Amino acid sequence: MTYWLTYFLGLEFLYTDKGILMHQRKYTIDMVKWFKMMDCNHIITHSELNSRKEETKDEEKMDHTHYKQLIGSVRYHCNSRLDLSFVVGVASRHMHEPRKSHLIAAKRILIYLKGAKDLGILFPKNTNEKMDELIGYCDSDWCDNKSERMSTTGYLFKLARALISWCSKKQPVVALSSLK
Amino acid sequence: MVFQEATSGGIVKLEVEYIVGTYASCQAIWLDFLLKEIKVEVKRPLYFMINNKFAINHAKNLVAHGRSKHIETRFHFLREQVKKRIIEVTHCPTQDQPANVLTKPVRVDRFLKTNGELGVLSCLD
Repeated sequence: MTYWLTYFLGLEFLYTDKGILMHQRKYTIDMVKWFKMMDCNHIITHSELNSRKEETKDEEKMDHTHYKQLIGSVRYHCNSRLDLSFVVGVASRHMHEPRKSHLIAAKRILIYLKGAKDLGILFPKNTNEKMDELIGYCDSDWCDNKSERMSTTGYLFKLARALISWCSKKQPVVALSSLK
Repeated sequence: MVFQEATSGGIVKLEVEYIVGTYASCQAIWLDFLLKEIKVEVKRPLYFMINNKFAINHAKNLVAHGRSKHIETRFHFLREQVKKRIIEVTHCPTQDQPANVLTKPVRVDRFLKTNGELGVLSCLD
């Protein structure tokens, strides 16, 4: 008798005719309930386009335990959602001293997740084409962090059209390249 | 001068794109070993899509010119792998680059398009 994997460490697996879908629906609902955000209206994106605030020093300080709990819970969600890695990474940079605008941005991720709780990654079925092809995509953002002059880098890998590995990270080196 | 101005954005990004290429190639080689261990044969060379032509040329041509002298030696790992034909770097236009969502906040249409390309689907469909 074969047993199909359906639930493992908060990750749920759904078997469809297109392939296997990995999602964290239950985890999301539990998380949003825990933070008492179930009544929010949902939004389509998880971050504002021009939300990069450089100066937040004069803003009100927030409870950092609450902030850490929030970021920690959302970070576990990055296991099944590639689009979250970037925002969660940015939010984690203020973990030691969260300000009001940081908490608002972090809560926005939760509100987004509430609306997008059904989304997951599909591992398509064997279609006999390009089965052995591993493709990497790399991108970087030059000097997005004005105060530290660090760049954010990201890469992802697709094997046989399925997303298998990804990373979004602040580069540990300061980029010097410039025309002058 | 006009030419220089037009390409300045690209050349400024050379270093960061080149470095991310190196990080990604380390990950690619690790993935390759891992897949071999679970008996999945991956076709060589592995393809890398980078949206910066300067970085691609820099990885392919073994030259050191004034604009790249300061890049640390350890980041030339990518170049080594390209030389050994383990990795092949190709250009991919910015609008088709799915890795964009990992580095910057993107517009809604772009966000949804990338999600579609990467096989992010709803479990209710």
